[in-house]
Amino acid sequence: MPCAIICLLVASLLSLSPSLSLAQEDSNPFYSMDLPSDLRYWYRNPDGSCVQCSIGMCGVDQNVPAAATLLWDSEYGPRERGGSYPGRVSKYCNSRQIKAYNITGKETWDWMRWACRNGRGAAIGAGGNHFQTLYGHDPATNTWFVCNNNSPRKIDVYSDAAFRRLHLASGQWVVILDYPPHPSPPEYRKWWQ
Amino acid sequence: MSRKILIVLIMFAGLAPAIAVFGQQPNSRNVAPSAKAEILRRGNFVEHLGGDMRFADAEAIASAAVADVMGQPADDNHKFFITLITQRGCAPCARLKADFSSDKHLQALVNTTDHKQSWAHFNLYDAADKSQSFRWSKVQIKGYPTILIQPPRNGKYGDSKIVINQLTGYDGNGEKLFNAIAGSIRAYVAKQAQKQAIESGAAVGTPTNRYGVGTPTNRHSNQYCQAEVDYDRTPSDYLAPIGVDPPWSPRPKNEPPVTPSPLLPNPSPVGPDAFPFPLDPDAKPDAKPDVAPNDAIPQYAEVVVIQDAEAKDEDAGELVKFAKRLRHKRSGMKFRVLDWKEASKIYPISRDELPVAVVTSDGKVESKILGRLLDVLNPPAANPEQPSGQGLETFPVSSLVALLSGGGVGAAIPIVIWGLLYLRSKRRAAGQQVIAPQIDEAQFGLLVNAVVSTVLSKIPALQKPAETPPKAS
Repeated sequence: MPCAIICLLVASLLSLSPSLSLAQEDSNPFYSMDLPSDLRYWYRNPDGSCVQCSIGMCGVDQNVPAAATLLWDSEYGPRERGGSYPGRVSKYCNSRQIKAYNITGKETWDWMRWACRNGRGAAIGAGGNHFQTLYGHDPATNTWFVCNNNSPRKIDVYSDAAFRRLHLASGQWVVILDYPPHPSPPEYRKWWQ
Repeated sequence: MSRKILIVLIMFAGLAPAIAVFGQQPNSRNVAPSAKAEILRRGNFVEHLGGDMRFADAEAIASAAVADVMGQPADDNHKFFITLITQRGCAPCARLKADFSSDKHLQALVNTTDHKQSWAHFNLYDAADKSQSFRWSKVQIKGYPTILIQPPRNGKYGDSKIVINQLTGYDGNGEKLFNAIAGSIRAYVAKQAQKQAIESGAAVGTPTNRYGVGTPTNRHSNQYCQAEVDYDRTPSDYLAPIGVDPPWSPRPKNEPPVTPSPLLPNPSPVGPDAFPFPLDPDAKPDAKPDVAPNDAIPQYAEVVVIQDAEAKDEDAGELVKFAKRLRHKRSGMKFRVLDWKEASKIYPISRDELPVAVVTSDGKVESKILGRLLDVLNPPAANPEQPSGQGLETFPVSSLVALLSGGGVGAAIPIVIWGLLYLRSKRRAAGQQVIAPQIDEAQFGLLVNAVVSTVLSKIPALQKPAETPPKAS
C-alpha cells in the first residue's frame, strides 16, 4: 500500500515536468544560441526576474549590452528586477533603447520559428507564470530546445506537443531582439583547397 | 482491493492541489499575474520597441507603430557575416568603425544603422568584453581591428563556421578594405560553386572566368593595434548574481574619444604573407571556451565576502550587509560574494577565518574583516535608558570558549578588540581623553582590527598553515 502511494506520487511529480530529456552539450546544430553554460549561469533567476533573465540571455547572445545588462545596474540603465508583463517590457526596452519585437497572440509560433531559423534566440512564455529562453528548434522533427533560467546550465528538449503545452501555460507572449544574429563560432578550414 | 485503490485516489486528489501550489511561482514574481490579462487584451499584436523616437513627431510615431504591426521581417539567414573586433583606445579601430558608417564602399557591404538594409550581418565586438570572448576560442587574434568574414547561416555556401578571411588592421582606405572583403567573398563563392559543380558532375570553367575574380591573394597590410588582449577578469563564482554590478565589464555605451594618431602608410604586416590566413589553420585551440576567471586580485577597489558554501553561517549574511555598506561609502568600489574553495586560490585566507570580507585595491589586500567580529564592531542598538557604548552584553563569549579550548591567537583577537572598545567607551562616558576621538566606535573597531591583523600577520610563528581546499567532485 505505501509503495503504491509512493509510485503514484513519483509518477504524478514526473508528469509535471514536460521535458523529455536534457541536452547536456553546449553545441548542437539546431541551437540558435551558442552560449557556454557558465555564461548562461549568469542569468539564473535569483528573485523572480524570469522575463529579464530570458531577455538578458538573448542580449548576451546577440551582443546587445543594453539587454544583456538588464539584471544589473550599469551605464545602460538601472537594474530591472521582479515580475514583468508586456507593458513593462515596452517601458524598459524603450527607456534603454533596446530594439525588440514584443509579440502577443496567436502569431507567436511563427515568430519563434522565424527567430530560430535566422539564428536568434527568444524570450518566451513557458510554464505557469514563467519565462524561459528559446534556444533552438529542429524543424525536421519539430523538436524545441529551451533554457530555463531556474536551471540555466542545461538545455531542455521538448517535443512539439510538450512545447505547445509549455508555451500556452503562460499565455502567448514572446520577446525577440531586433538585432543581427551572432556569427557561428569561427573556425579555420582550408576552403581554398 | 478496490477499497485500497479508492483510498489511493482520494489521497492523490487531496495532494494534487498542494503539488500544484508548490510548483507555482509566487504571484509577485516572474511573469506577473496581470500579464495574462494584458496578453489577452493586446491580442495578436506586435510592438516594435527601442527605436529612438525622441525626435520624431507624432505622425511619424503613429505611422511607425502601424508599420510595425505587420508580420515577421524577411528571413536574413542568407546574409554573409562581417564581424569587427576592436580594442578600446585603438585609433585605427575607431577610424574603421566610423568608416563603416560613412565610407561609401564599406556601406555597400554594411548598414550600421539598420541591419535589415545591410547586405551582410555586421557585428561589432569589444575585445575586452569578457561576455563575448568565448567566441574567439578557435581563432587567433593577432591585432586590432580584426575583421572576420564568414558564410551565411543557411548553409548555401557551406558551413557558416568557416572563416573566409581574417583581416587585421586598417590604414584608413575604405575602398581597399572593401576590395579585400569583397574579393575574398567572391573567391570563396567561386570555390564553393566549383566544388558543388564537381560534386554534381557538371563541367565548369575556372572560377576566374565565371566570377571575374583572380586568385585570392588579397593582403591587407596596414596600421594596427598590437594584440595585447587584456581581458577584464571575471568573478570566479557567481554565488550572488543578484548583486548590483554585472558579472563582467560590458562594452561601454559611449566610448571615450581616441587620441588621433597619424596613420602609418606602411606598417609592418601583422601576419605571414600568404592569403588567406596569417595563422596555422591546423591549430587546435582549447576546446573549452575561456570564461574561467583570473586568479589574480583585481586592480580596482573591491570588497569580497568569502564564505563557506557548505556551512550555513549566520555571520555571512551580516557580513554581506556590512560589505555593502562599506561599498556605498567608497565610490567605485565593487562588491561580490565568493565561495571559499575558489577564493582560497586568490586570497590569503584560511578556513577558520570564514566568513570574512576582504578589501582589495591595486591588486593587493588592504584589510580583512572577520565575520565573527561583527558583533563586536556593530553592537546592538542602544537602549535609550542606558548610556551608549560598548557593554558587557557584546562580550565575545564564543571567542573566549574557543581560546580556552586551544583555539589559538586568532580567537583572542575579538576579545582584545572588545576590551579596547570597552575601555574606550567607558573613558568616553566618563569624559576622559580617548584615542582618535573624531571617529566612532565601529570605525575604531575596524582600525584596531586592521592593526591587530597586520601585526599578527607579521609574526610567522602565529600563522596557521593554509588549509587546502577540498577538490571538487
